[in-house]
Amino acid sequence: MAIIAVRIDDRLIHGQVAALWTNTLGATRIMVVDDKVATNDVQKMSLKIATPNGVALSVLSIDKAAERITAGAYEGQRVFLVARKPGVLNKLIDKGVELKEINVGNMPYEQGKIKVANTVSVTQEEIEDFEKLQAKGVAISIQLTPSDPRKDFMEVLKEAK
Amino acid sequence: MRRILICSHGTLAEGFRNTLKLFAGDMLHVDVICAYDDDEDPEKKLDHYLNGVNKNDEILAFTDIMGGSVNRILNQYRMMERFPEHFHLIAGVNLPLLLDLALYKPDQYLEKNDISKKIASAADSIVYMNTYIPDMSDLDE
Repeated sequence: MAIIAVRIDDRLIHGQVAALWTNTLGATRIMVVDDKVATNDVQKMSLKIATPNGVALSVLSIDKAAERITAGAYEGQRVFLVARKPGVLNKLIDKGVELKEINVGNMPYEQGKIKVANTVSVTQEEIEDFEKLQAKGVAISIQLTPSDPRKDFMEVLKEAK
Repeated sequence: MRRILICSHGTLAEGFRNTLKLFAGDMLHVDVICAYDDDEDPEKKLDHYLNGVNKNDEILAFTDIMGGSVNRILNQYRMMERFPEHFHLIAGVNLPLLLDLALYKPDQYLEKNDISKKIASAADSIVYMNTYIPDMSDLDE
């Protein structure tokens, strides 16, 4: 299995992801899956700049990511998959991508969202997406940086509701 | 134990500590000396710090500017062998370098060569973005 870790992070590649998680995980490729970013050259360039030296970068739409991952295009690599929202991961699984574990990093607060943790707030729709992921057997954890304790996201969510 | 010491004129060092915590949480042991922030002599602050250090500790000391008074005091102490064996003094602190060195080989003593390499790579991280063009040829899209 080429995908070694999955993270939900609104900021996609930034300090915590690039400097900490990529290193800690020993990832050789960061894969951003986002339909909007995949068609935006400025954002793609900005993500490339944020990617650590020696680490490969993919910026793919959901369809293309599913197609390449299921075709085994990254076998032998250590892929760290990053997406902004849980809905993206549901779609990937529906298209045949196997995801066993995901980590929730940054989902910023906006008005009307439920605050789950310091850096994580969710809408009703996102809660449903997480429940769908759980129903598909995905283990969901919440951990901002590698030094923070890893907690069960669904438990934390239950307490916040 | 690896200990990070950040020394600055004024409160820059405290700011670095705050930012490091944001990145690395509580996994790092960070001390700061903010010189001339109050009336206490920086040498006294340093003496106080040294009292809490063990001879087996590895100390990565960063100062804000080479030749600054704090840097000179630390360098004199280094030459007077007042620090433990694994003491490294680095002038010109910046965040990529701090993060890189603080988290590198956490369970081992760093070699001089490790530190020189990390400094060279941190120097490359100071970039004039207006003229910087990333290599997009290997992007998987």
